[in-house]
Amino acid sequence: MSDGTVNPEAPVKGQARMEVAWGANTGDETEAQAQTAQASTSGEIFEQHYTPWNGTLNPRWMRNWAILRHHVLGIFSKGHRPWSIPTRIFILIIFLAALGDAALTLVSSLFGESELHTIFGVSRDNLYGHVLGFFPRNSLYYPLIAALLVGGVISEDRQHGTSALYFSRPVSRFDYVGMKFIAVALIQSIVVLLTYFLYFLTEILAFGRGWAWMVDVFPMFLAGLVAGVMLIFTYTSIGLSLSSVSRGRFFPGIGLLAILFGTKTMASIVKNLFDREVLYLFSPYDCLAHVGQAIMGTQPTYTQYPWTYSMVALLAMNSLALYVLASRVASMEVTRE
Amino acid sequence: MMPDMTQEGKAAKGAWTPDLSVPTVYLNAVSKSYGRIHALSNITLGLSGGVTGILGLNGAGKSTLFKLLMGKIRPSAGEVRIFGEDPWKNPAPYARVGFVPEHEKMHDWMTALEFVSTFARLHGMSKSQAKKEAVRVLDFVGLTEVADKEIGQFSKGMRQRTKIAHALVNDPDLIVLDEPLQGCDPLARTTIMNVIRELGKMGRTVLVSSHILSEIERITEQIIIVHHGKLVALGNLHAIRERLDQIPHTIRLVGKDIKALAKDILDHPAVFGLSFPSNNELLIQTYHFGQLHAELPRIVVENGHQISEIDNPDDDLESLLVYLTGGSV
Amino acid sequence: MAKSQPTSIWRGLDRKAMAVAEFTFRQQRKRLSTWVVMGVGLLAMTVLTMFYVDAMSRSYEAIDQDGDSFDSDGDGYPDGQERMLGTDLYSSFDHPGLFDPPVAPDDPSVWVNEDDIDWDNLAEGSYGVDDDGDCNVEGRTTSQKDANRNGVACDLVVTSSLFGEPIVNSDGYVDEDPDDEAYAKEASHRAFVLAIGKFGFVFLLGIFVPLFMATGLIRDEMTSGTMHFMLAKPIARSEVFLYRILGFLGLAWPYMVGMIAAVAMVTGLVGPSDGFYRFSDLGVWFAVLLASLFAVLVYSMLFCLLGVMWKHGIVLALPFAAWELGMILTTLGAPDAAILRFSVIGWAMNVVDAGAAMAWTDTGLLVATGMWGGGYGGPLEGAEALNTFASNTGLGLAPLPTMILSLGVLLFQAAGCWLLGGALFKSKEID
Repeated sequence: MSDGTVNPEAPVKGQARMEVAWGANTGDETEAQAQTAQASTSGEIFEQHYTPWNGTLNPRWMRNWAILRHHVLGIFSKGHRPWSIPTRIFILIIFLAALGDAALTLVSSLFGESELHTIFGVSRDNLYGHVLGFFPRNSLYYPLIAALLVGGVISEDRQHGTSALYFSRPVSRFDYVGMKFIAVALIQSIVVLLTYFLYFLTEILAFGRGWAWMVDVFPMFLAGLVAGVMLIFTYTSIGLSLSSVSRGRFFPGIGLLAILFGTKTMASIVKNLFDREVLYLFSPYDCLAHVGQAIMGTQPTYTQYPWTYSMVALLAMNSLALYVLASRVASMEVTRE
Repeated sequence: MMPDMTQEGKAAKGAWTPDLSVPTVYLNAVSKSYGRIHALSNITLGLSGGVTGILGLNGAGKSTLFKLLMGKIRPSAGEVRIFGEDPWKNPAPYARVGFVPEHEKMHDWMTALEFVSTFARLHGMSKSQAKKEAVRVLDFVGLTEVADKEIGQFSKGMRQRTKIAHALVNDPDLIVLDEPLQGCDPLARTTIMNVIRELGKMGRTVLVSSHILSEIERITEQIIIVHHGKLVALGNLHAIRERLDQIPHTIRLVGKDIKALAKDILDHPAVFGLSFPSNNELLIQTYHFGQLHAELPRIVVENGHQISEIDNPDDDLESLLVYLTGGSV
Repeated sequence: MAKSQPTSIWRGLDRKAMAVAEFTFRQQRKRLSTWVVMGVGLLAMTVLTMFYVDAMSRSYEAIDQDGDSFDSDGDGYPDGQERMLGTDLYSSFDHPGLFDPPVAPDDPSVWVNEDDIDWDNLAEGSYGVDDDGDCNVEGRTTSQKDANRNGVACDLVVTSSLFGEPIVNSDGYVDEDPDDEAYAKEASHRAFVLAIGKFGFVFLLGIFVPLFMATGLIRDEMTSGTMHFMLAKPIARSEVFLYRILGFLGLAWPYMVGMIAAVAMVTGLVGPSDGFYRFSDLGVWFAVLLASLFAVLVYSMLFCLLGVMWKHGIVLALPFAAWELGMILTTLGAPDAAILRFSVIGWAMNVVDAGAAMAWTDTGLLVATGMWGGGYGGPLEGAEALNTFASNTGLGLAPLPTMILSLGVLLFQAAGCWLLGGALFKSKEID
């Protein structure tokens, strides 16, 4: 408290409100390190009580887990990150559509090992198709989900100023982005990989496959899984880097689709017109498909260069995207834009 | 600072002859609800000329009222009229209206001059006319020096003044300002208040909303108080205040020897109750707030008391509302 | 005072339109994303054009389709020469060197590409010419010389199939060894013009430029609250909708015109032609220009409408873009499918195909002869590409009516989107 005298001319001050604002008089005064008011020529400095926080901080992984949980659970229920309703509806629709091959396997099991099973059942080509087939999975399903998810995950935070809510807490920027990355990838893997598992499981249950079959097919299955992880990783890293350089929810989503479809369309124009495949190296989808064909052992559709080129191109794309993401996040200003 | 009253460029003005039988703003039994939330219920109001302050807490329905007036939203019931026209159906009356929205976001990439002149052209002015008008209103709000700077670099007060300039560019008869003082520093406040008072003197109908009583007090005497979507008071601020003086008011004092002070004050005719919430705190109840407030410092000094704080927790909109609504804030 | 006032309501409207359009134009211009989108579009079209330039400047292998440059009997005389002069192809003891006076053996390269397709007089029903004279040689029977049985020896007949596709019917040894390079360049050139016109300009740029720039024209302003400024002015909301689009077009249309003109310039200069510039392509480019300008118009109206309709308008716009991708693929194989009438791109493709049909009347023939390839060894290089990207006009009408009708439909679609968008916007409560 100040010296306690008051002049008749002294203005009526709102000290009480100042105290509320500074959080004093909460019972912590005894522990507080008080900085007493100092006389100043041009004005008066109010007393400020700084109360040190003596709690224990939860470990880093626990805080990060909270961020991850917040994003992923938002897909299923209220009270977490509010993904927009249409995004959630689309994810549901596409999840069901991606289960189409499992359903058809189930149907074909009614007829035993028939023609139908060779069309729909688990086979090398079908496992490849589940993850990397262009139509409809990589033209309508997976890129659309990735586009909707990355559409606002960082850029909307920046636009609405909610990233400040994270950065005012003991969370590092890279943990924040890392958890967003994992969350987006996890939601995609629900659609891509969970359905892949379910497809495989349906085959085992419906046809009563034994261990011998499983051991036989397992390497193929595993290769498909690796291809799926690469697909998700690539879409997510490109999408998030777009999300980090732009504002609003429109640009990153459209940007991702424009990159995926634009490069694919251009590459196939050049292939059809001039019989040159080199542009496929710039198309993320085609690089993924090429590598996927190589590791899964399906009939290659890219013949003019070895699959390692595509692998290198994929690595280059991902590292470029991650570099952009990292440098943008490191220099991001925590303001509302 | 006075605008040129014989200005050119009032595009729609030539065709308009004032119809004095029609109030500028007229609302008849207007209600607006969003689902189960009643933002406004059964408001009837007619205004013409002068500055009117619209007071209400956050969420009381001030902005909803303005949105109705500006045709942004449709009333759930009742009729809204501006110059006798329904603004939801017909944007024509806006030729004579200037609106300052509460939103902070502006077109940051434009200069103030571009911003004002672009929107002036929406009144049907030619490019050169619009520029001339823009220069005039920017001068009126005192932004001539920064007219060619981008709005993105402006401070909050400058942005608010730019918005006001944009609203005045068509020399409107009705000016609606939604929270024009929010977030401004005292200097900008004073400028904006002067501008608003000026407009009132020029005979325009001005509607200003705020949730701070003292702000409105400095601008106008005619106020409307909105609370929970209802109109709780309409009229002269002084009349309302005078009646407010008749209800108990609290003054809070903090000092060292507070008990001694209490003895000296107890004799004052305006005081009817004292209480001590803590050792160095004194609460004084009074029916004549103004009188006591004027005399209190003298009493304190004459008797040599030491006071570190004087505060009157009731002197705000909330206590006014407590009184007006019978204690249901 | 009276002088400066609008003399009519039209002048006032005109001023408002200009103000909003100019505002939108400048707003877009100040955005970095606009330049990124346009730059990427420019880059993509440049890459495609570079592949084209490369294809035009490389040399194509001259293929001896009929194999008559080969010396089957090893006597030093190519088969073609022996056949023409009536000696035994398979006997090294019978060759023109034994004639009196002896004939010197030809260089084998003379018998490569020796009988090109006679484009100048090749139209439906007309006859080809046996340039090298190896059809009408002594010792061949009349029925051998007139394999297509039209009563004329050593000619080539082009007839129409039931579906209107040209069929080449040759007497054999007529136009049997076309000039591969000339054909490949001409066919690749046309295929490229059609491919970049249809997929590059009308589809990629035509959809993605409005998707990036027009979806938020109204919606972004509504979200950020800046729409309040404009709506507090005496201007109807459907006008705002229209003028915003106009401002967008003020940027997007010149961009499209510039890009198309640049590519038309390059391909006209680089492409195979007798003069210095291929003026015959201009009609096609004009059709591409019309189609892409109209496509940009319709898409921008539509995407802006979707943005007005729903906060998550993008969610509706993306599947629509995927639908249009499906439709443009359909136009390649089945240009007269009824489902195309429910798309924008189907009508735009009709415009391009109609333009191509008017400017290059012989494209169908070029495809047919290329696929026929002289009667030996399959299609010529470039024929399949041209076959992929060229298609008929789809509506079963003559080219000009097709073009007029399609442009009319596109205009109608744009107007419909505007009316719907304006009405939706008008009934929208803006917080």
